[in-house]
Amino acid sequence: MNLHTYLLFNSIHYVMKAEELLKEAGMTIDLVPVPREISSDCGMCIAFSEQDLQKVISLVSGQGFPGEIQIYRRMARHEYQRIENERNKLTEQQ
Amino acid sequence: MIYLDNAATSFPKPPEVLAAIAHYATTIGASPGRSSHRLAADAGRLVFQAREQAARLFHVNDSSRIIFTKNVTEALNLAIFGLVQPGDRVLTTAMEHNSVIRPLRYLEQEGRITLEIIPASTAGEPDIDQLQRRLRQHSFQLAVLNHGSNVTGSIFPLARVISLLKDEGITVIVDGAQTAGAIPINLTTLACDVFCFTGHKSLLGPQGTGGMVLQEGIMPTPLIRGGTGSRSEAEYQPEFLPDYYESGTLNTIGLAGLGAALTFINQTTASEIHHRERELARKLWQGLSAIAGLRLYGPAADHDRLPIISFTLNKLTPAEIAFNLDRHHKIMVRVGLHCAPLAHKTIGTFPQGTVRLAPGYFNTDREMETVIKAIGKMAVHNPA
Repeated sequence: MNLHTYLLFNSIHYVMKAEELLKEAGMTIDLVPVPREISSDCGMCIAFSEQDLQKVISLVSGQGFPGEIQIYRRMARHEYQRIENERNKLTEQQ
Repeated sequence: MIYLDNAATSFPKPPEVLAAIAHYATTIGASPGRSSHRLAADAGRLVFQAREQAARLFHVNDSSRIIFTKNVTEALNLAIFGLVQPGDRVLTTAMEHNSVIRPLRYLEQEGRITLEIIPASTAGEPDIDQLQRRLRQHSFQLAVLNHGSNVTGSIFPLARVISLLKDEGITVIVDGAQTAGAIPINLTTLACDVFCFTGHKSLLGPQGTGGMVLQEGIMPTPLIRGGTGSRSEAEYQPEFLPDYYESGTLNTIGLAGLGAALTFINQTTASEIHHRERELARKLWQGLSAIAGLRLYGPAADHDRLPIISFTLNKLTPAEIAFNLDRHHKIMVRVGLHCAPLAHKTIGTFPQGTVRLAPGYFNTDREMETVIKAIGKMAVHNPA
């Protein structure tokens, strides 16, 4: 399975929380360094398959994750595109 | 050997704590939240699990509001200095530890706050009538309150006091040094703004661990700023939890032990630990109260109390008693003022202090009998 979609959080705390949550839901995910093109952050993010996008969004919604959730897809080497998602629209409305 | 100094540092620790420390040291070893290799991820998971276990113990729904510090003193300093505003009128009680009194006296000395100290009874309970009177006289902005006394073992009626303070819109910081792990604590119902704890006492973890629980929306100014592993491109401190307060590499080896200790307490339950420790305290209290010339302090054994029993004996100084117990009976206790001169002034034992017996969850009934016998013998040899 190609894990070329990335879920990012501001703190490693939420990366660990999401990892536990998604693994418990039986999903195939991987912890990888945040791609340099997305952020200069030195942390980690969660890589998953884009076919699981809706499932990931619904699992991390309403679970006490703060504010905005960033999701990116890999387009090509060194090229990433932000994926807008319903969860962020909900957060903005609050 | 009989170790009765658990109110200073609990000993021994559950075997799981030592195993977790050894596991981290031998198979993980890396920094949490910094690099992104597998060992760094393992270290990150370990810190996350410690936070989750703490959140479970204190009934906190979001573990990012658990902030780790090196001990309760650091947590109290963070909360006090991070929330106080110039000109604040601050309330505290006459049963506080120096970890509360010294930061507050410093702020008072610097002219930054006005400090009001609520008196307490000789049993170590804060005077609620006096508190209500002061609340009518002045408007206060901040209160720093003990949850349980390290001198008398009294447990404060915090729910009632906090509700009085909250009616006046006062920010409340609680010192849970002696209560965290020793009694059930529900921070969803106990509406303090910051609850401070230490890892090495009743939480049964190693020294160098502690922290605070922030109620939702409470953001004290951090005590230190620096690298957090997050937002590395920014020259300003990230303002999200828990990173805002946790600059510099954490005490991961200590948190490995604390996480295992918290898991042990969650499995055993704080109410079972409290029940067992109350039995030990009751046994000690009953045995000691039969010794002529011995004076006990704090609430009697039938009260809901912590397993902390202070006493004096005839004309013997606390230091002489402790030396005798250690040298001749291998019984380890703490003497003197227990870093709480104000509390000793309240119960009338300043400046000499008391002998403090603080059994823990792993002490036995038989050990209590040995201790009572040893002190009884000393009383016979040193009549009034």
